[in-house]
Amino acid sequence: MSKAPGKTARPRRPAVDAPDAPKKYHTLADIAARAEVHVTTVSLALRDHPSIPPATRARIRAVAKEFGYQRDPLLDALNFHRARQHAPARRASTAFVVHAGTTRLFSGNHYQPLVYAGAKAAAEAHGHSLEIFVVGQGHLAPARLNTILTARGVTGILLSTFEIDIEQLDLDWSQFCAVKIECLHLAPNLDAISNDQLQVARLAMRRLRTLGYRRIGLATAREDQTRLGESFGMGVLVEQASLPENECVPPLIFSLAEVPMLPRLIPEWMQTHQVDVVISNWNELFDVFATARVKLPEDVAFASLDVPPSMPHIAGVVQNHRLVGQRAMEQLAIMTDAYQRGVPEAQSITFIPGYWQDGVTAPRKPRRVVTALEPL
Amino acid sequence: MSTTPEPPTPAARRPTLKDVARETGYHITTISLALRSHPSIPAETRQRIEETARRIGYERNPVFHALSRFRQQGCVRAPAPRIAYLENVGAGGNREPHRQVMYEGALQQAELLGYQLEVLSVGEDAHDARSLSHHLRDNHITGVVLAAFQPGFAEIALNWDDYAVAKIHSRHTEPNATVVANDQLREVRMAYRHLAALGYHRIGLAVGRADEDACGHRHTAGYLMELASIPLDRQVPPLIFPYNTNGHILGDMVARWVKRHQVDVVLCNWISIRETIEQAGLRVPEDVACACLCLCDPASNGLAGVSPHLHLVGERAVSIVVTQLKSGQLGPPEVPSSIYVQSTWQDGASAPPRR
Repeated sequence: MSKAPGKTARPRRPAVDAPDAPKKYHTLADIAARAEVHVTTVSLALRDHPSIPPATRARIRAVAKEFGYQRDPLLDALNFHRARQHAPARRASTAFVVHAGTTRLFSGNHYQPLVYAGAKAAAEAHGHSLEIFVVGQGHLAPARLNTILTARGVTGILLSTFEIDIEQLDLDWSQFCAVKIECLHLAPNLDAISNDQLQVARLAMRRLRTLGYRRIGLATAREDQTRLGESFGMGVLVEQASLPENECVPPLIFSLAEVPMLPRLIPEWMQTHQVDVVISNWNELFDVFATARVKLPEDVAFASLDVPPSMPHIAGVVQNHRLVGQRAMEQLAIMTDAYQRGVPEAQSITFIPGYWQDGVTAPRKPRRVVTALEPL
Repeated sequence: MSTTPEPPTPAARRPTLKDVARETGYHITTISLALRSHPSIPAETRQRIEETARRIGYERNPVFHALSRFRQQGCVRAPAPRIAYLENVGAGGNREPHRQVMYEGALQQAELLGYQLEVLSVGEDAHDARSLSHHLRDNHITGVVLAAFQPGFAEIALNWDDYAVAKIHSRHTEPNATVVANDQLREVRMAYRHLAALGYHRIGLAVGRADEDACGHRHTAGYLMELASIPLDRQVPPLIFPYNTNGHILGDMVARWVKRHQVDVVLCNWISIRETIEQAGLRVPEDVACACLCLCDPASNGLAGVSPHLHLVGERAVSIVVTQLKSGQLGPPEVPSSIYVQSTWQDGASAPPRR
C-alpha cells in the first residue's frame, strides 16, 4: 500500500464479513479489502498483469470467485469508449520485425509497404507506436533483438516477410505478445493473419469462367506454394473438382531456378493444354509474355492473383494487404491490453479475402457465334 | 511520426450528441431531450434536431443506453446484457457433442466478460425471423452468434445491420459476417500425413455434403491437395455422402466404398465412425482402420484422429461480438474475415501403425 498522502493513502475499507452479506453487488474494493491488497492490485491481477506474482493473482482470483465478482460489461464499454476518446499518456511501442534477406519485398510493386502502412495506421489509432527492426545476416541477431526489445520495454511484436528458408525465430516468447503476418511456416505457432489465397484462387477461377474462359491455367512458383501452404493450388483443385474434365488444366509449378526459362516453358505449357487464360501471382509474367512475343489478350488472357495498386487496368484479384496489416495490429493491440503473452494454447489464423477487378487483360470472351435461324 | 493525433475518420468514430449539438447550435441537453421526444422541446425544434441527427448518422449506442438507464433507475448494477446464441437444429433435444463443446466455450467467455448467453432455436417448431426479431428487440439484444447452422435446416433473415454478428461455421447462410471455425482444411492434411506416416496407403475421406457446404468445401480442398502429390493408383476418390444420411445408411455406403476402392483407413468427421463401420460388418482395425476428424469427446475410446479446440471457437465468436458491441459497430463488416483455430493430432487404437 502506498505511503504517499492523498487518495491512495485513505484507510482501507473494513473487510466485508462474509460474501453472503446483504450486499448484492461486490466491487473491486470489496475484493481488495478481503485479500488485503490495494484495489489497483486487484484490478491488475484480474486482468492477468504480469507485474503481479502468479501466486498473488491466483489468490485474488479465488477471492473474486468467492464473492461472485463479475466484470461489468457496461462499465467495460464505457472504459473502452473513454479510452478511445483520450490519447493514452504513454504510447505502447510495437516492433515490426522483418528479415534482412527480404527487404526487396519493400521495393517495387511488392506488397510489404501496404502491409506496413495498414499496421501503422491501426497502431496509431490504438495509441501504439510502430518501429521496424531488421533481423538476419548483417543486421540484428535474434538474441540481440531480444535484448533491445526488453531494454526498450517493447512487448508487442508483428512478424512479417520471413521466407521459407527461415524456419524459426528464437526470442523469449513468454515476454512478448506477438502476431505473424503471412509467414505460417515460421515457428513458433503464434496467431497469424494472412490473405486468403485459397479464396483468391477460387474467386479468380469463378469470375473467369463467367467471363467465358474454359481452359484456366495456374502458373506459380514452387517456393510460393510452400510459403503459402499451397493455397493457390488448392483453390484451383477445389474449383476443378466441380468442372467437366475437359476444363481441367494442370497447373505449371516452376522453381525459382527455372525463371530464366519461363519464356520457353510458358508458351509450351499453354500450347500443350490449350490454355485460354493464365492466372498467376507473378506479375513479372508480363515481361515473360513480352519476351516470348505472346500478345495479351489476343493470344492468351491474363488475370493476376495479386493485382498491385500500380496496375489498375489489369484483371485479377486484389488482395487486401493493407487490411492484413491493420487486422494484425488490431489483434496485437487486443492481446497487449489483455497481457496475453507467449505462444497460445492453440494457434488461430485469420484470413482476409480479396476482391475481383475487371481489366483489359481478360475481357469477356465473345460467345461462339452460332448461326441462328431467322426468327419466324 | 506526427505527434498530433489525426482527426478520427468517420468509420472509427460514431457521431455523438455533442456532434449533433455542434451542428444544430443547440445545447447538448436540448438535443438529448429532443431525441427522446421530451414535451418541453417545441415540435419544430425537435424535428430539426432529428433531421440533423439522421443526416450526420447519429445512432444511440445500445450499451450506453443501458448504462444510463440503470443509473436513472437507481440500481447498483444493471442486469447483464445478453447475447443471443442461435442454433437451427435440435430444439429442445440434446446437442451433439461437438456443438456442446463450442457452446460451453462461448458460455464461459460470455460470463467472463459479464454477458449472459441466451440460447435461441430457429426452426419450424421454434423461432422464425419475425418472432426472433421481436424477441431480440424486446430484450434489447443486439449481439448474435450464429452457432454452427446446419445446412438443410431452417435459416433466418434478420435486418443484420442492427446487430453485432459472428458466425461459427455456417458459411452457407446469411449474413456475410466474420466466421470462426476449426481449420478443416489443415485438419484433413494433417490427418492424411499422420496416417501416411503410420503406413497407410489407401486413405479415404468420407464427409457429409452438409458439413462440406457449411465449411466452404474445406475438407475436400485439403484432401485434393494431398491426392495431388501421390501416384494415381493410390488415390481414393472422396465419399461425399448426401444430406440427412443416418448412421445405418452411412455404414452401408462406407462399407461398399471401402471394398470398391480397397480403402485401408477411413477418415471421417463423425465421432461415431467406428461404430458405424462395425455395424456394417467390418472389423476395426483388422478389416479397415478409421480416424475421426472431430474428436471432441475426451473419452473417445481409442479413436485416432484430430482433436479440434472447439471451446476456443466458441470463445472467439463471443469475443468478436463483444468487441463490436463495445465499439457500437453494428452490421456485418465490409470485408469479413475468417478465423481458423488450429487442431492437434491424437494417435489411437483405431488406426495402429501398419507393419
